[in-house]
Amino acid sequence: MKSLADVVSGAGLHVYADIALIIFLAVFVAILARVLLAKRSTWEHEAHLPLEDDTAPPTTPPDRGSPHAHQ
Amino acid sequence: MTLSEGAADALTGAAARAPAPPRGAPVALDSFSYDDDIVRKFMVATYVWGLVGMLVGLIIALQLVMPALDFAPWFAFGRLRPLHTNAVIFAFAGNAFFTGAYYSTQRLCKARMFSDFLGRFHFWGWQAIIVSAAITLPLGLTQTKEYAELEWPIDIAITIVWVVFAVNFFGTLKKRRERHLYVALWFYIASIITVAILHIFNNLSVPAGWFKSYSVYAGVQDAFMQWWYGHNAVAFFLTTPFLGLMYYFMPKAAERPVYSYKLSILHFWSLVFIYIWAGPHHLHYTALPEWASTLGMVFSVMLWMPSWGGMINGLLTLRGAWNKVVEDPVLKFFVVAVTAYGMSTFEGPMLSVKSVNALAHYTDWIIAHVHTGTLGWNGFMTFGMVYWLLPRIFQTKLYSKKLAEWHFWIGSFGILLYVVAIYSAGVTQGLMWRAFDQTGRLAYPDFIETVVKLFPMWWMRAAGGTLYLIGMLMFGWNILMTWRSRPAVYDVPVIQAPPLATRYVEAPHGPQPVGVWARFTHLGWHRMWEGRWLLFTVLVIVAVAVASLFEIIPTFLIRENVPTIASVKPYTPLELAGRDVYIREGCVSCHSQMIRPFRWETERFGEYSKPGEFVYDHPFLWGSRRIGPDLAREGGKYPDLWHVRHMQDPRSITPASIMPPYAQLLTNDLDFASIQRKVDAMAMLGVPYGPAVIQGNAPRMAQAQAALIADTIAQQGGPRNLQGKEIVALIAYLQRLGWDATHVSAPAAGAAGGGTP
Repeated sequence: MKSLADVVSGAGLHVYADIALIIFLAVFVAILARVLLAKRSTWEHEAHLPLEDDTAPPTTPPDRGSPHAHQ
Repeated sequence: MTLSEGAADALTGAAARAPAPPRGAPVALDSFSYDDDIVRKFMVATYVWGLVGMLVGLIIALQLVMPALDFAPWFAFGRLRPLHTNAVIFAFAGNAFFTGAYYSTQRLCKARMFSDFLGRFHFWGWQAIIVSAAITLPLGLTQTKEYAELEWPIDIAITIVWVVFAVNFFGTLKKRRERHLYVALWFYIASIITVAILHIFNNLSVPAGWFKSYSVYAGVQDAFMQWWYGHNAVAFFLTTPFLGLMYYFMPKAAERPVYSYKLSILHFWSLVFIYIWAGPHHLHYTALPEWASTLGMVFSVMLWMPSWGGMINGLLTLRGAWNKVVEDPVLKFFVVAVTAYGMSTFEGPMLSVKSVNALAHYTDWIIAHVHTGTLGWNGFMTFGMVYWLLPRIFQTKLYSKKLAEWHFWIGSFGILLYVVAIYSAGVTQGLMWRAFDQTGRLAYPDFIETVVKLFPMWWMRAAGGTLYLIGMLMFGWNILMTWRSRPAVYDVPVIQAPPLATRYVEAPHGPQPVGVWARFTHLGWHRMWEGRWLLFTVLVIVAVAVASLFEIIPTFLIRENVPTIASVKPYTPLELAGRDVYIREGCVSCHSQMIRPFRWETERFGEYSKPGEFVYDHPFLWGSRRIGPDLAREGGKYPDLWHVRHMQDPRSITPASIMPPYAQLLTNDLDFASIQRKVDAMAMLGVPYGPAVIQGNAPRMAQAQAALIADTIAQQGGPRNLQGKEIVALIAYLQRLGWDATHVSAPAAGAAGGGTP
């Protein structure tokens, strides 16, 4: 009885790696085209997400006896 | 921070894009707070383990120039080296990633972490794993595969803790209040998913006891899996998580958005699609099939583009803010970190080019490359992030900005000294190995000549490492003193944000697309993915899995990739036990067992290695570095007594040797009883052990072969009665290396009965 390795070994898969390379290169080019052709303004909101919760750090050490009052 | 309803609406944009309630209508805001306690915990762990890992790094650097520092078996270079790599990768960089991920994920999702309990479980579980690594690795309990040394019970613990982290992370994505997943979160998703896949598949093994196991893969396949894992551990543990941190913390520190969000999308998808293929470049000119090696090289070269795109994106985020770099140590750390990322991702593809790799492989050049990345990119990105976080998570002023500046400069100078020295060492080593004189013979035939030449550079490296470590101490002092000035009770701000609408409708961005091309270039579909985190995650898995399978399936299933050699037989039970001693002592940290098909290698070490020689090697022991000579053809090269003397005191054989002494092998009793379990585990993996699998046979065979070797040693004038000691097992193994491929039958096979018909 033939094993999976026998079947695969005889399947003539020598171009397998070339096909894989072409597929992945094509996907990469598609992503490249799609991203570059889109307008910059589309991502304006996303690009600013890290800045939405900005809080300035304290500039002086707190008085350890009286913790910061909330708000 | 508390937002008014209108402000929340304007900032998040979520309500503006939701169909109901209509824009401008009152929105019920959720109130919540962030869990910064878990951030503080991971930050402290990052520092503590970073200090330990770097201290061990300095110790092993000094052991190379002062071998007297190898004063105990558990303190020898071979056992400490994996402790260093595991500590700095998984303990220092891992905890740094978790610190930043827990801080940024909550804020980018406008939600507290999914579960505080899971966060604590993740924290304490991860620290317990690190402690277990710190105990087991010096004890010599190792699987020996680089960055995957930990034995199977710890591997299972890693899997559980990682899944807990994943549940907590994805649970937070699910309950988020911000529609769009910021690009940093994409990098976290890719890291979490890919690391899980890599860890599980590379660590598949059959246990032969509580702290001993054998990889299910052998030889070429094991090497392939290991470097698929090893390279992508660098990619998805040291690169993509830190890119996520870069995309969050760099805009925060610069107080401006990332230079190009477009470029960040491109950066992400191209890394996910390309990185996973590159692993085979670690195995150029070895017994790996040539097609796999070439594929690895081509994809590695393709990585140049996205990596540099990411670096440029990071640096240009500082456009118009370069004046701040002068004032702000955080930005200084980030600039050097991103520059180091650019340098090491330029060098990586260059090293993957076969002709360059032929010179660099096995040399210190690779160590220099790795340290440009880890000291510069991972280290400085972590320092910058923590300095930025300190006043925020401890709710006080940073203790000393000046000390942070000093840390930056002393750390930068340390990196410079380190890498300049080790690049020089690597190139020197590579050129000396391949040098021929006018008569056509090796110019430096004695390997030790190529070692002692590196001493000045190794001293300089140790000086660079010391400076970097001094910077760490300054860092620690700053953390400690900042922590000491924290408030008595931390303030817990209540945040308000509108809940996420259940249905997503794309907000109009100009005219709606018409036609296939217009719809393709329109962002709607990608934005839909971003909204559906599960779909997005599945797509990442598909990209990683498909790329992996394209390389793995042919390597494993096409027979011609690993032509068998009829004369290659399994190791005898005693040789197998000796191989485990070799693994325990970490010999693979300094000695390769893979001779490449170059004249300068075959002249020095013997016939080049063939794939079929390793079909019973669970795990493979090809190594990645030559501090000592290759051992692939060691069998029969020296008498048994030579090995006894060499292990007892290497410097009695080679005066300039830097190898640690292994005199304890002459007194340690060999555990014959455990040999049966080892043989049985190997048999389970398909190694044809014949009569050795019959209960009790394996120890008897081992004892018979041990008696023969002990007699030989005694006849050669060496110590008597070594038949029960570990040294005879190691000698049996070393004398077998390379023998089968160059001789018709294995030595002592008849005596040991380990061979198969």
